[in-house]
Amino acid sequence: MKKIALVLAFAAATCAALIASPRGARAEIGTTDQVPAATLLLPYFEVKLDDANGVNTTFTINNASASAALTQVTLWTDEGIPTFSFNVYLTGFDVQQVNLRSLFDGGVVPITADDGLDTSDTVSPQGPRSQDINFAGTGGVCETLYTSPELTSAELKHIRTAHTGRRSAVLGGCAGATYGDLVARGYVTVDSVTQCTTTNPATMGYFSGTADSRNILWGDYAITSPADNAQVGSSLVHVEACHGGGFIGYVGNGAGNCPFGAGDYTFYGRLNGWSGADNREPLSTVFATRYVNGGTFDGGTDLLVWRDTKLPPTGANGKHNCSKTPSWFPLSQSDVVSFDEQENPTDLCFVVDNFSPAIGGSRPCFPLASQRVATASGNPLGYPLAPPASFGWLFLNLSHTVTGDQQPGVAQAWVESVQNASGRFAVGFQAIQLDNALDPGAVVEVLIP
Amino acid sequence: MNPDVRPEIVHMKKIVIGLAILAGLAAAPSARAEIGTADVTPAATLLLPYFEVDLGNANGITTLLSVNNASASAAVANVVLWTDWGVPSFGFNVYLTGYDVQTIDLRDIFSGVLPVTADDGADPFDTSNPTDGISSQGILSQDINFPGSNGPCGSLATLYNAPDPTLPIKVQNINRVHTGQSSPLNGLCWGGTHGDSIARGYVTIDTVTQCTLDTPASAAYFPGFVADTRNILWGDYVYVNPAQNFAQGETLVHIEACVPGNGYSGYTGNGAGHCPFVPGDYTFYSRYVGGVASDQREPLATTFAARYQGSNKTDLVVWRDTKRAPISTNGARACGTSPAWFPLGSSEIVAFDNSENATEVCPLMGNDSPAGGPTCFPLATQRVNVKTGNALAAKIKAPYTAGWLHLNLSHTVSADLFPNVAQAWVSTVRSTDGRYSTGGSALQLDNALAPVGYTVFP
Repeated sequence: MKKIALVLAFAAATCAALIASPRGARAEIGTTDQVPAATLLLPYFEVKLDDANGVNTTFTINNASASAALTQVTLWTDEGIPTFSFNVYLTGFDVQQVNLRSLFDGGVVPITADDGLDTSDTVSPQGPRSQDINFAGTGGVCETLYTSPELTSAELKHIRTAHTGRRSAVLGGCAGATYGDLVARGYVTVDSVTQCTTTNPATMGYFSGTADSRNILWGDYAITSPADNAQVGSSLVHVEACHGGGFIGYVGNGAGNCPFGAGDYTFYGRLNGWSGADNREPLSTVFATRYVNGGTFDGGTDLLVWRDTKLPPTGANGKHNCSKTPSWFPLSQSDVVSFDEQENPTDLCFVVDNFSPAIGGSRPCFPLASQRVATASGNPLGYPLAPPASFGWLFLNLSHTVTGDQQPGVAQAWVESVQNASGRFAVGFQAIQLDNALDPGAVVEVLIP
Repeated sequence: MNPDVRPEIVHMKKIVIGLAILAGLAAAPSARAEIGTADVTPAATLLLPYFEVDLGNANGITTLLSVNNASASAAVANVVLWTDWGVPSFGFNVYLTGYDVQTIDLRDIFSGVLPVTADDGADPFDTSNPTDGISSQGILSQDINFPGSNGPCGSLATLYNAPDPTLPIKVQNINRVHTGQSSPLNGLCWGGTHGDSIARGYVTIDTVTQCTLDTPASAAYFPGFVADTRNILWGDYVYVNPAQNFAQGETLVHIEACVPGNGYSGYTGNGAGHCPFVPGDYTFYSRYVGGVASDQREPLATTFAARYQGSNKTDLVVWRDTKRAPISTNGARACGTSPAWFPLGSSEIVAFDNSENATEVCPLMGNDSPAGGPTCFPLATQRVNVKTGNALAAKIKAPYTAGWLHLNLSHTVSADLFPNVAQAWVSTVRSTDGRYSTGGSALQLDNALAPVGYTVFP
């Protein structure tokens, strides 16, 4: 009965979204703005596994529409390999917080339930303005409630090892970088989907039947470090989708951009052979951000950097022998320049080309799919960034090229900066976007060849 | 310096500026559309939507901001302080060589210490040595002359570290009018009175073609091409409260411009379907240009979504368009009275809890400004605690301890050119456990170019 109900309900939901949401209006596909989206990206997370009072990451998933929504939350290692997915059901206007420590420490995922699974509305209450419907699918929230904890001991061990660079028995290999500590690292994607599923964006067919393109999700995140008395927060990255032959969302009409076609650079392009099937806008390739390594912010500035490996997490780019790395490692870049406050430029992370894996004289400062990089000292797995001045800003062209690349010389990324006042507070900023991967030539690509 | 030199320099400057602007325009080919949504890309105007400086406590809250030049071309930025009634109180210019960055502590401004910069002609000791002079020039950076005889475009005698007998009264003025006290210049009040020592207001930063004493509210500012349309500025800001060990930061609001009659030139976008703006379009500075769109700047959103948590632990920082030029009854007023638009109305404020229960909050008497009674966001800019409100505002009275707010801030003033539409900007400041604090922009649900007009409670 649920399947029938779903079809009707989803059609109703879609219609409701079309009716209730504002008309397509102004174009914004092709620039990353903070508006409701079909996919949310948490670009980097950290959870210290051996210290309950250590660094942790939380994020929220919100539904901007009166229509119900189902989301697919996927954890990825810092090598861009998916490790675990779960569903979160949202009634209209719902909000759900996800605490990654609860997941990594106890195997606990948020417990939500669609209408058919929650007839008494005790699990996912329905507000008077909110739709509450059934979704298809056999996974949690659609047919069977998640338990608490939901993860078995083997599954819990899997995510704890995979995200700390150790061998996962489930994967039969390693899937993340090894820092030699017990901090779980990686990134998270949250997609609006049409059904409960255990698949993820890297699964064949995900974008032809599972993912949906309603731009209705929004959210934010916080990385909290109690030891430093510091918390930094920001919006999740809101990745909008084209819908059908055009664009339907709260803001925009996607003029000139929707729908995406084969060969277009899309957010999930690496996972669908650059077919454009995900219909999701890509991010920028070039960024500008300030850094401060002194004064009030004596703890220095870190960059949180998400990058597109441009290769699916399979074969030589999937799980691997723990003594090896993915074929693209380390990721290269096109140009990194620091400016001091007198505009003196210094070429950092010197490159002779932008090939990944970096070869020759390349010095990869941002080698992974997701990482924290201290501007003063760098990332332990990369080359030190080390701008010569304590204050200034960075020009970051993070485009790179992989073997057999269908988007040579272009690579989307995301950059945020965290300025730390040691032991007292910290502030976080999004970096300035200087272009978009749809049109990477909009800015001077290389300042110092 | 030799006074005989200056006329030649000034003459040369007029020629150079034309070339410089052309160079700036040539820097960025068009790409994808983004006019009509506030995204964090280089822009022609930056908005610091709200600031606080505790003038009674040197260790109290202050606001820091940075102005950065994304291009190799030189730029002049016109920095204008506005009170929370939207009245311009003070302006100064910042010259930026290519790729320059200038940080500003607003506490310094309220102390009369302005950032000292100088264009090429006003910086005679700037040589090829990158460490000398005032506004040093990097090897990739343009350093030129801009027209204008004041501030960083004039001479060593006009730079902001030179003696200026007019400065003390200006500084006294901003110290008083930003705390709701009468102005020593005209005896009137220019802003709301909160009964404390905290200076409040907002800041706009425009790229301009010349040094100027004008503000965006000046008659010739846009028609006279004082303001320019190069999308080259970027920046961020931080509220720092050393006494409480709190800081919250966010990017400034980046407002992109179309090039009049010529589409769009910027680092990101081509403004397809939007540029140039034409009379009748809602633009960022509409209220100063009579709705003719000569500012060519994209407007902001009208409707927002923002999370709140933990009773009194979330503040909303809300900038609003009064939709009125700050003159006559809409500008400075006799103390004890208010501008004609005060308090600003709104279209709908709804609080949701985490179980999606919805409650319409804030007294709503229609969306007219002035409203028929107290409102939750009555000023041009304000910080409003979700639980305790603001000294000049009605309390939001969300009946829940956590959830999110739907904020439709459109309102209508008399003889409104854009009835039922009003741009705004909302950020949140959340504190946790008395230890942490984070800031972030609210979610934009539309744009004033195409307002949603959506209400949760029809």
